[in-house]
Amino acid sequence: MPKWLPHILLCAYFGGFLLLIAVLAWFRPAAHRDNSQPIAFPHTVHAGRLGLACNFCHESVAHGPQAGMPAVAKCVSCHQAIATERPEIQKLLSYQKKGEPIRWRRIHQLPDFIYFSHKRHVSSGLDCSACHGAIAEMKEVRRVRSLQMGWCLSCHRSRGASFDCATCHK
Amino acid sequence: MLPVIQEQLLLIKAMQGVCQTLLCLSLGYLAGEVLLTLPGKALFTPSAPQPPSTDTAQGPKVLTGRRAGLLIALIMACNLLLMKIAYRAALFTGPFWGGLTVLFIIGLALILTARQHLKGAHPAGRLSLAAAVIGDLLLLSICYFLLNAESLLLTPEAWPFLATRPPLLLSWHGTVRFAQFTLLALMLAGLDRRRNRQVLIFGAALLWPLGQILELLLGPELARSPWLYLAAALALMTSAALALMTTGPLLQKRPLPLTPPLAGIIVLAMLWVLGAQTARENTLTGVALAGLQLPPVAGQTPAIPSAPQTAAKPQAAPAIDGGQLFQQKCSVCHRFDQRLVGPPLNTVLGKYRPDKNKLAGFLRNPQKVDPGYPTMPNLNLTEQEADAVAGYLLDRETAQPAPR
Repeated sequence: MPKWLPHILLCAYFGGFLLLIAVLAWFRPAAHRDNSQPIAFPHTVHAGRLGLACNFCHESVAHGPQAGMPAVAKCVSCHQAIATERPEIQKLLSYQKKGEPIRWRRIHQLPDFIYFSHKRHVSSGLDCSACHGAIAEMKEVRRVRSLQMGWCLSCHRSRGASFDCATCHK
Repeated sequence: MLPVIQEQLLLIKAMQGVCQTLLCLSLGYLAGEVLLTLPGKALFTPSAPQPPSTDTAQGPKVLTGRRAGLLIALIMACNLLLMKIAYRAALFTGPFWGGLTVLFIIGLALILTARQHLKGAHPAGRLSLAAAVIGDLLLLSICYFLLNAESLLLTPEAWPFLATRPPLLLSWHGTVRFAQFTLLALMLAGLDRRRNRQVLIFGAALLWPLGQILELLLGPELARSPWLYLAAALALMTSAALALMTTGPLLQKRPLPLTPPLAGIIVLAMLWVLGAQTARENTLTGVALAGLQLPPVAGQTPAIPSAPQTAAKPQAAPAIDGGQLFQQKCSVCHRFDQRLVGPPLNTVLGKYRPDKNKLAGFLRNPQKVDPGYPTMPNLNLTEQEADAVAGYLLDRETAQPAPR
């Protein structure tokens, strides 16, 4: 056995792991990188400084499973007059001109086999921040809860909510 | 939080990191060394007569005696305290942590006494063997518990449920961290010139990357940042250096120089602790910690007796500045004399002049009035706030008569 062989093997072994970490770092969830949304919408201004209620824009949060994203027209109803010279608002207006919806990148993604209803959770008295954190302080929305089953079940158990599989797995 | 803590938070966290590194190194050394020395000394001495007892395998004389024990216990207490100050983790009660510290001190004392015996010239008895084993188990389980608690700090979403479901404390992340701690302990125990245990360092260094990757994958998503990956990569490189350092001596069966591997292990422990701190910095942000206090379930908690409520009532709400509130919430859409999003206020305020309450009512629950404008959003003003804004608007409007 040549003298250098073990060293080379070791280098290859550790190099492989190093590469793995590099790959992990490269492919970390895109939602956690900055500027991933088509328009840099600041919740800090709308929900924070102005203090708009969540359901002013997310209209169906108390009425259906989806909280709902506001239509472009809703944004424009105020922004036809406010801050129209800013580049991000210009982007918004161009969406309206083209008649296209804004393709927001989804941050809170649940698997297809999960049935989740905002209505239920809001009507049980939960605050939005219980699952979404302090959205009003986020310049760009981040996911601050794991949204994993163990977490859902902990809360369901502690609040006496349904524990039946079919409640969420439909 | 006290202002002093706020100012010195970085220092406190740095001190906590140093404490944890020291603790990890000393405990790892004690736990690993005792376990490895025990069998040879306590079990086989009676049968196999020792070679000249002056030169029998006496491990390096570090961390022996009462003083070392006191020091370690002190560092442990410091670490817990700093952790509590820096992260304000009200995860368990004070008596709980106190009990844990007492157990820790007992385990430490057992181990140190056993080591005292093991170092002595005369063979160790069954008693010291038992003491060493019990002490070691106690210490290791406390370490396991503490590392799990440290991992729990990374998942604030589990905190509210801990009281009803204590098993939430244990996590795979914490288990991996404990495995990494044992690897560190093995490496430290391998630093023994006399008995050529460098194979321990080598093996532990080979296993380290597995733990590192698992730790990264099992950690919460929020914790991952470029810095965390950097720390992981650096730790990986250190373990690679350790493995490379030990291959030569291992293959040629010559004793290992002690200083470079020791330095490597210390760096590795520091990076290990630093990685956890980085993860905590990323996770324990204000935005993630909001909303952890869940509202009581309807119908489950009895209504609180009215005594505290009546006590709270007399605290008159501080006078609200309507003008300031207007600037903050309304002025984005409204001017007195020009159309913005909403109509010029001077043209609409007139009809509310006789009845301020009507205006306040509208502010609290806006309705569509003029089809030429979008509906005003409900800004969730309280009764007092709406009243203050209405007062401000009517005052202002009367102060400068409107050009109708």
